[in-house]
Amino acid sequence: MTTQAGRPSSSSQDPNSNRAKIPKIKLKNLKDKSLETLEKELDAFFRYYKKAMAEKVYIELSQCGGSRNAVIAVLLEESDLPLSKLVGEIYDRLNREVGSGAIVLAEPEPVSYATVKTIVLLEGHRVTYGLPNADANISEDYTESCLWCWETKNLELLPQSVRGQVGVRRMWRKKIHDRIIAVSETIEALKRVRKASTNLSRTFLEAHIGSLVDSSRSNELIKREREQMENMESRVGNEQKVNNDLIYDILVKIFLSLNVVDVGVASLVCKSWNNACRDPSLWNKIDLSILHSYCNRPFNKIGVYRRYSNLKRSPFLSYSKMTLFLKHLLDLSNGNTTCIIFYFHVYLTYNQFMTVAERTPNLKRVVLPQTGDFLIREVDTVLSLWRGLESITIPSVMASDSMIRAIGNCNVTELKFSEGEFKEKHAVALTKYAPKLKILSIRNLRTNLKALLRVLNFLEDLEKVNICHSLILDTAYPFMSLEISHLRNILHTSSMEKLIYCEKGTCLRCMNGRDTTRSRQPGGPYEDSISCTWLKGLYQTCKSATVPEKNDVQLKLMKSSYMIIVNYLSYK
Amino acid sequence: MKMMKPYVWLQTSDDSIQQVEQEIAMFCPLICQEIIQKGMGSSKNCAICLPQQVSPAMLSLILDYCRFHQVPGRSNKERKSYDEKFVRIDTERLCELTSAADSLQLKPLVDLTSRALARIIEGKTPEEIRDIFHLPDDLTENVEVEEEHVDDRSVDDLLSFINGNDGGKLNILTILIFVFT
Repeated sequence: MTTQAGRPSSSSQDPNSNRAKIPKIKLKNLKDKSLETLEKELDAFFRYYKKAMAEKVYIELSQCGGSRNAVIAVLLEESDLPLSKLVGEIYDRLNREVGSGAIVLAEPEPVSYATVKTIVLLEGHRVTYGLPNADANISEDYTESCLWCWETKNLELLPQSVRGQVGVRRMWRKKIHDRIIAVSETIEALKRVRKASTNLSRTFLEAHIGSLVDSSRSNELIKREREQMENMESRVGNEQKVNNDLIYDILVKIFLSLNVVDVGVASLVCKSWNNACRDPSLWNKIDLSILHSYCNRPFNKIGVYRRYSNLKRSPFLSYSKMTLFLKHLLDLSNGNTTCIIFYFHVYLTYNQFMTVAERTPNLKRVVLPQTGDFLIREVDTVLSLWRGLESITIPSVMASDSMIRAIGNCNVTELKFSEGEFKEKHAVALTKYAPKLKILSIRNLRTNLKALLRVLNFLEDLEKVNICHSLILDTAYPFMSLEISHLRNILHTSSMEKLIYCEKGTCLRCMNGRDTTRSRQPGGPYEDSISCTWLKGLYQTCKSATVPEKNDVQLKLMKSSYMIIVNYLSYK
Repeated sequence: MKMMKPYVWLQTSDDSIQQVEQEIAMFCPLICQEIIQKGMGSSKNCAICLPQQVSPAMLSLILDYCRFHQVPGRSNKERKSYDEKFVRIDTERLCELTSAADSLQLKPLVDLTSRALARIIEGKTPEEIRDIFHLPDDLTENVEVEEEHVDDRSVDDLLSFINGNDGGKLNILTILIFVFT
């Protein structure tokens, strides 16, 4: 370790985690280095300044032309003394020179100490060229680092011959001053950074503070801190423990809130996770619609594919990978899937369709994508594999006669159109091939009024038709969509009762649309609002207690459990 | 007539016994059942024995949670932001907390923590997950073996690949290798 001897705090602080600290110390060294060079530079500047200032510009006092002010100005120029000493020195010098006859002053009267002081203050000012010190007394302070210097306010008092030289020296001092200020500010900043980073390593991370924030007892705090330290030391020993901590039920619970892709990845982590991933509750519904977020992303980002990608490395989702992925998921599901939702914009090949159909014997509901090449092949084969299929969702472009015939052949009672237009030919095909249909959903479609009427009149088993947000058009008035109120006039009441429509955002989707939680909970995200059934049970038992007279305990319990229910519900 | 006791005695996994406000402890269904059905916890001698998963540290965390949510009149926003902060702890402790909450049948907290864990898992590769949770790579490869032989290179691709090489021996060799693998 090359930590500076002068700063032991950085290394002695935490001997346990030396290994983790190495990069930090390196970083610190770097900073120390630059700090050192800067400090050296500053020192060098001070020395250079002193040396240069020792060689003053020599000015002949006789050149001053006998003016008292000019002589004093020459004498005070570039002096670093404080005011009292400077005045004393100038006074002595002046008297000596006048006494020796070297200069002759224009004013005949002798110069007093007070006059010298007045003239010095009048003609000169003291400037700092070093580190500024706001608290210092400008005229008397003698801090070395300030680099004080007297200057004549009016350069014209000095003899013509030296004015240029003095001016240059003033400029030179100014430049040094700028540099010194800049360097010292950098040093300050670096020091601050170092202090801050030391503090940073000493204090807790946000996560730790967050967990501690509610514990007002400082004892607790210290205890946890110690615990954390111990945890860090014995992490290796704990490896097995964490694994055991998450039992099957909890793992399943965690996986319930993951999407299928992530469950597929989780199944590749380890044995216990793989087991948990095969839990039937996870596979009731396979929602592949989340694939949209993966479709245009480089696919080796997802673990499943990285794991499988001994194959050709294609950056995007390829059909073979999609097939592998489906296989993997369906093997995990072990035939427990009752609902599968394909991503609408995926191109489903016949192979994939067969793969899915073979592995989902108990399927009840399927949502098909927009396109695929399975239509031309035998749709009947695939659909016949799903003996228990009850509900199917297809885009209207796919609803050809053959498709509807295949649907009519299996016992599907619920048909939903997912996109496009509900045309008269669809209605004709439906009445012809699928007379047993009970529920038809044409929500959010352009719907032909005649088609709707035909369906309502000729499908005898039909119980409900969902036309929420549909645009109902009459060919007679092509530019006007019919309101629900119009329909009321046209349709028979019994037909009207079969319709599910949305007026003023009252349909389920409209109300749920505001809920953005994504979840794969078996009951769906919207139905578990009262999941704390134990609370309800508790309340009921308390309420219907068969004790002759309810005592205080029970009454209070009843009240508190009721409050908890209310709180919980309002929170949900 | 019995007196209402404001406190309840709980014994954690390390056999230490502590006194907790009954109102708050009742938030956990397990403790609630013990109190109502078995009349436990009314004194130090008949303290409620908590499951093995509940360490004192976890109990204090759980009680913090209950204490916050037990107070009526907090807004949903407050509760949500509290929950968010509450699960911002390291993964290891989060796992422990989930187990402890599960053993106490405290469903809302289990939901909260398992959602937080799910967020940690999301979008990661198996390797990354193993690193985070310190899990062993003990999956036998037969999970994927059946898929390994699936090859999406077409025969044409392979032919062009083989024909691209010069030298007949090499061609035969390549074909042999391909056949046996």
